Amino acid sequence: MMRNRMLHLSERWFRLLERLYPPDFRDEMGSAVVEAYMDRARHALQNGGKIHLAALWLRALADALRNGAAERACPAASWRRAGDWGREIEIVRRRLVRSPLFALTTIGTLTIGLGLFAVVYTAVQKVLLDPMPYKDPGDLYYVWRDYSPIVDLKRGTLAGTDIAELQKGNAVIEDAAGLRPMLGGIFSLREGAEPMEIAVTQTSPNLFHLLGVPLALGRSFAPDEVGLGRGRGHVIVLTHHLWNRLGADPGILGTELRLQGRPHTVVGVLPPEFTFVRNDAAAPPQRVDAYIPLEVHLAEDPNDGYAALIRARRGASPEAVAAAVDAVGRAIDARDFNGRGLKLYPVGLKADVISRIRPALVVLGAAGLVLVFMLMVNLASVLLSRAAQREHEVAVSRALGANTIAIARSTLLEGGLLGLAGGALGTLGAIWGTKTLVALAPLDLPRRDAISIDWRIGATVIAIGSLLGVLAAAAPAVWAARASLSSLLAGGAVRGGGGQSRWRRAMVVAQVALSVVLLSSGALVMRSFERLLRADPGFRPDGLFTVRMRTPPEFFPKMSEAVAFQDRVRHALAAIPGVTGASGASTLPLTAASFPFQATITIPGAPGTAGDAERDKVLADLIGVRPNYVEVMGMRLLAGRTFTESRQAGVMEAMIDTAIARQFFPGGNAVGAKIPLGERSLTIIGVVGQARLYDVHTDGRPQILIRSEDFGIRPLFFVIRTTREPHSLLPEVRAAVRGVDPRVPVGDARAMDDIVDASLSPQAIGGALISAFAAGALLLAAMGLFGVVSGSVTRRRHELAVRLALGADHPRVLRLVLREGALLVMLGLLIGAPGIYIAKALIRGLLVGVSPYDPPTLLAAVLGLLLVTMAACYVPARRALGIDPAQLLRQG
Amino acid sequence: MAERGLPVRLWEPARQAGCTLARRLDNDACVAHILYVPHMEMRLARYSVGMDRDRGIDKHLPLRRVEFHILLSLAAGERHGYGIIQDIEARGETSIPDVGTMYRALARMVEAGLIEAADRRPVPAADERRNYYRITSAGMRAARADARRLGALVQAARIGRLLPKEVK
Repeated sequence: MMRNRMLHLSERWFRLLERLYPPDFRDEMGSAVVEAYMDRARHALQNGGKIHLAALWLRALADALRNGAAERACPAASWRRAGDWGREIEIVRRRLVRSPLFALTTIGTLTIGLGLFAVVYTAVQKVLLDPMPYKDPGDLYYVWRDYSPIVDLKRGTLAGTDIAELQKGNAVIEDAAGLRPMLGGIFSLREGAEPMEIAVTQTSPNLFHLLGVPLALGRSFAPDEVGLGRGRGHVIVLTHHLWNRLGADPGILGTELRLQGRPHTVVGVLPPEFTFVRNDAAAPPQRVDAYIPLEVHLAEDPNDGYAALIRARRGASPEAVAAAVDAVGRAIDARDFNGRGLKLYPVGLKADVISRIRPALVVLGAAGLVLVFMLMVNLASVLLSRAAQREHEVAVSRALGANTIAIARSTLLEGGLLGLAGGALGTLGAIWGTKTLVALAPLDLPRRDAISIDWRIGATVIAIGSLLGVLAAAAPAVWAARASLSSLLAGGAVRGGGGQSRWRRAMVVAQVALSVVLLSSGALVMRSFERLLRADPGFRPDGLFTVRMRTPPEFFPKMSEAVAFQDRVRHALAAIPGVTGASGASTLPLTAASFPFQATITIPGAPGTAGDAERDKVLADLIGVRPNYVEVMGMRLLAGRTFTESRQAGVMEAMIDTAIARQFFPGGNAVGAKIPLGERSLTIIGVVGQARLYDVHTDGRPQILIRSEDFGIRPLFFVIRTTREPHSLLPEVRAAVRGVDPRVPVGDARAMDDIVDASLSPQAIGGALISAFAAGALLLAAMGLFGVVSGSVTRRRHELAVRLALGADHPRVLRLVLREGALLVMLGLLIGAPGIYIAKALIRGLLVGVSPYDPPTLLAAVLGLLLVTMAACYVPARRALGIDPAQLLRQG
Repeated sequence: MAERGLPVRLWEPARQAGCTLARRLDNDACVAHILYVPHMEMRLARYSVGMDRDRGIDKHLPLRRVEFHILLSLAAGERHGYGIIQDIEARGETSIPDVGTMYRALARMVEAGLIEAADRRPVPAADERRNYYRITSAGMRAARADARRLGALVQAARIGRLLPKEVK
């Protein structure tokens, strides 16, 4: 009895395992396999008892798993019909190889599309989504002061004492650090070596601890190392890339480097993943090459100019942090500002860094998603027409017993394989694409170094490609699986007929709708970009060359020495052949790279003074310039004169811009008026148009140009106007400066044209991408329409032949055929119209000076779409006219 | 079990609509599998029988180990699947193939024409019927060719002193 039960159980187990084999093999050999196993089972039970039987069960399981899979992948006999994945993939592959044009064009389209998507995805992922390389980056915030009650400055720096208050900490704030830029970063490895310029930031000693970053070499600053020249040697911590530039020598710790002529001992090197950008109040974030401790303890420095970074305690909500910071701010406000209402507020670290770039990235992300959708629709319609061509073959295999699932599966496999190939090739292409994007992107793009394709992104793109292929093949697969016997019995495929065309039309409508949205967005962005290009920045950028040179107090302790040096440099530069003029300024237009000095000015007694204390105060940018600046830059002089080489003794001259002139001197006559500034007063000698500092298309804050030597401003930038190609000047400029003083490095040499282009690059890139997408969508929609209309012509040829024979003239027949295409286009326009409104919200961040609902642009986009689509319909419609009615009707 | 005949079953609606499957011997000694559809016929597969077929044994050489064992067993007479496994055990082979491997190999060899299915008969040891296999002439030739190859290898091993010389 026991034996029989065991045998019975064994048989059930073997029969269960039989199901692991594909159905064909089961039909043929399944029972034989079970019978053989039963023989073995009897044998095992006889010779070894239950243990041997159990071992046999396990062996049978392993055998079935291995051979079942192997049979599915690589069937023993080639005539198997279903259930064999390997054979099906092989069949699909052979089918694709036999139609190379289709396969290549489809894979090509997918490669380009998925490659673009991969680039977009990388950029969005790395900049927007990836966490920053610090410990618990969600707890890090920048703290700014809102100066709006006094002046128009929402994001202002803090004083050292303010940060000391924050450092005291409470339940919410754990620690705070202060940063300020070091003015000037001339740096050389040793005395007499070629100097270079680096960006140095002064920081409180707890910065790296606050960020949670361990140093790769050496140590961070000690709290008592604050304060240069207080008896201790100066110290410096290098970033990894600077260390690489210096030769990546591990023995660099303890060696001395010269910064501004002073020796600094290297005490630490930061790890390679650490990229910190120092946020500025008004300017874009700055790269940092090296760190040195602050000159003064925070608690002892009441001066402004610090950027504050705080770490909140783990788990503190943003609201709690904001409340805590606000409380500290209120206490400071009462103590230092007589309760004027100056507030402190925190901004999350990442949000602060990427805030400028966020709108462009969101648009980019949306465009990427639209692109994927577009690809899917296009692939679906292509696969559908292919399925229609194979209708006959499918019917045959149906008759031979292939079930619905098997037929659907082969179409899905085809789509999946195409998508996989496209994804893989697209990833490869995107590796090159991201490098190009990073090279083209503006230098201050946050986290620029992090933008590169890693294997995770590659795997995601390949997976998305495969999924896209499978999804796109879903509609054709469903359609193919329902192919009925009638097509088999009819003896010939009815091309493009029936339900398949309903799907195709739907897809064409979707493509037209997409094209409408993308075209209108693209047209708006291009219009806005064109506006920017034509905008007058207030000076003449072509033919201008700029270099950056510091005149640090270490080399030129007295202001007069610095001025003399600069004058000598100016004359040396002006002496270069091809140069028509040279001057200097503390801030270059369109860069705000070293943000200009600002001052609140009033002009008491001016005709435009309204008597209202609030309105009569203006926060203006102060730009220190050398003589001839206005002429060299090509700025407009509207009244009075500019700074000349000679000057009146005892008079501090100033030039105001049109905004100040309009407000305070509405009737003109600004020249001669005086502006009090501190204990001194400026005399207005001229009115100029603004050389825009921030945006190309609109004036920023009002500007006052002053002589730099009057205020101890050491200009950083030299501008050179030349008739030659600007870049060709660089070697001679270097030689000229070396001839004057070899200790000063010449850095950051750029042509003004490049600076203007760089300020426009977000719009340029966004516009180019959207236009590329729009052109692609339009092309695909046109191809779809072409296919639908020519299919319709083929289908209706008998009917058209009859009409022609009955005397219909050509225009009537054309209208008849075109009506179908026109209907689809109109439907697509209707569906796409709401999409335009949705898209506007997204691209608003990119548009400058153009309303999102700008009628002429939208009209132009729609007209362009109609033109292309109707042309796509017209070409195959003309074929209808070539029908010979007699011949066709004879054929029957 | 299907012989080397038509490997598929017709879909019922197709059969009712008048389709049929058949084997047909063509003039050139080839067998074709045909799907007959009203007004049309479609050829599914074609293979040659007779002399042409036999010449193709080279592509099956060298035989896999399992295949050689199967041919060795069947050369002595008709066997069923489990019987072949028992023969392999009796020969002292250490790695005995699994049943699944064995039957896949059988299917492959039937496809290649080296063996063919014989009648289903009862097994001596049990009362149930089993599927029996029989070697074909092509299979015999393939087995002999492979045995010669193995023999040559053994001879070389003897010369290379890996095996003791034959005791005559």
